[in-house]
Amino acid sequence: MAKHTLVVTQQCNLRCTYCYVSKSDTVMPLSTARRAIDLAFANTPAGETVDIGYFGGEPLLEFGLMQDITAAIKVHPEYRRERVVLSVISNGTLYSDEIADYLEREQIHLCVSCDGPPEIQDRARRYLSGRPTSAVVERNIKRAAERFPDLRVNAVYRPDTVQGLARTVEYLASLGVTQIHLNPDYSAGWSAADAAALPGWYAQVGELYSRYRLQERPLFVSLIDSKIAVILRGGYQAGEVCRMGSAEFAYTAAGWIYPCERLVGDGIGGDHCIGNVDSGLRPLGKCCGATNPECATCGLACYCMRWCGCSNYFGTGRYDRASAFLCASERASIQTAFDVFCRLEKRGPAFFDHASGLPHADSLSAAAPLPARGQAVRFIPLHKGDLHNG
Amino acid sequence: MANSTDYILDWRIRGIPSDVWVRFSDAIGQLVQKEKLTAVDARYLTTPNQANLAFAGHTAKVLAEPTTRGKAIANVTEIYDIRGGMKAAHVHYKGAVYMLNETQWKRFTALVVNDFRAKLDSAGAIGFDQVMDISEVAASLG
Repeated sequence: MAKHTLVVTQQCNLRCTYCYVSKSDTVMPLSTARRAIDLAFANTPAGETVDIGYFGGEPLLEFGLMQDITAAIKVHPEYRRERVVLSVISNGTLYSDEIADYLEREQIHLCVSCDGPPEIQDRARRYLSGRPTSAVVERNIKRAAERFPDLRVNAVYRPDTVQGLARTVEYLASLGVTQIHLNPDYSAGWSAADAAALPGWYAQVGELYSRYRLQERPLFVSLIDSKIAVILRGGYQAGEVCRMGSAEFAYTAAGWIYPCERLVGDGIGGDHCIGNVDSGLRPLGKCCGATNPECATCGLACYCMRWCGCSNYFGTGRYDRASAFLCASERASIQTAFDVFCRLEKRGPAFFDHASGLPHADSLSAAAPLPARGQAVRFIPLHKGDLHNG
Repeated sequence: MANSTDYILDWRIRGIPSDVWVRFSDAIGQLVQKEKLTAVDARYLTTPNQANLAFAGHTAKVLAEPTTRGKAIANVTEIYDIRGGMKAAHVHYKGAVYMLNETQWKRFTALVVNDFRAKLDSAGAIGFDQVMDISEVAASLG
């Protein structure tokens, strides 16, 4: 699957403290979007799915433009329904029935960013005016979860909120969310003491996850499920790791191209820029996977996300150097996932679907309604969304 | 059991098998032999949930409505990454699918767990001091 992110606008009605996209009034002209779509199809390896995500800023501020771009994608000569996956990543403040109808009709996956219960959400995710967002986002997530069983929520955690991680999972589950992606802010000032405490915080999530499973209310929690899959499959496979700059691109409203949406900054060029929709792409020219000497002898190297160039960059300033925090976080999440696996498998086979492929929404419950004969089964890959923290 | 075209057809219908099957191929072969497992006719497992039905003893119902091979082939122009997710315990071995019961699945996961434990024991760690040095160097270079 090749990932193409369209930063349709850099306007946003929020001012989240950790956001990596600079705010401006720039909106992507439809002509720029069309060129980006051409590049998206042209730069997706043969036989792979074209994953196109609407991103911002807040993309739903430009809902009309999003509809125009979707229409343009669907009339593109290379478009085929089964080959293209569309998604939108929203801050959850602008959800409406009109938007929901459209997303459902056009089969666009909805992903909402919410860091957790009000005391966590409102720390970093506030309106431009400083007003808290938790009440409106909570209401909208509840409505969206009823409408979209595969609704995904991205929650970002930082040193000052990591201790509430299990509370975040419990809160989102109480709103009806079953797909929860927990993403650390790698650019935050994580200390050695934070890293030492991580196994305890992650273990709390593991215990909660196990409890929900035993109550037959399974959740998909990226921190656990993605690592169980990786353990069972003997490491990340080639198609699961980030391919920034080769099969992963972000196109800004001004038409500049970046190897990942987390690196767009002001969206008008700069160090990470690898081209423009008019002049085309140039090679990234930088190695992404971590080459720390410690990784060469680490038994967990192939189970670890050290391949993520932007996470490395935000931790160390280099695409090819993993940070001590990333290392600690990966070790803690792998250990947590392994403990959960051993605990739950003692009671009977629980994770056979994780072994055999990419875990997805359908893997949540054996009791889930079976699709009718001929009905498409939706496969939602793990590795792409795990990197978003917008 | 099948030639390469059959594999492609099977992957298109049910998903590309995970590489774990290749990694533990010898051990899975021994498991298949020891447990005297019989390959499922994968042509009829057209979705993960049909596999589940088959495993749950509804084989006759599933087989009563077979997907025609010709119809499926018409759709096989490209392979998308739709692999996996079969909602029943199984292993792949030499292109065939073998359903497992609880005890057999535990025997398979024991292989994976033992292999993983050894790796967990040899995990390294990146020290905070060292990474601070790298960051400082990067910052000084602008």
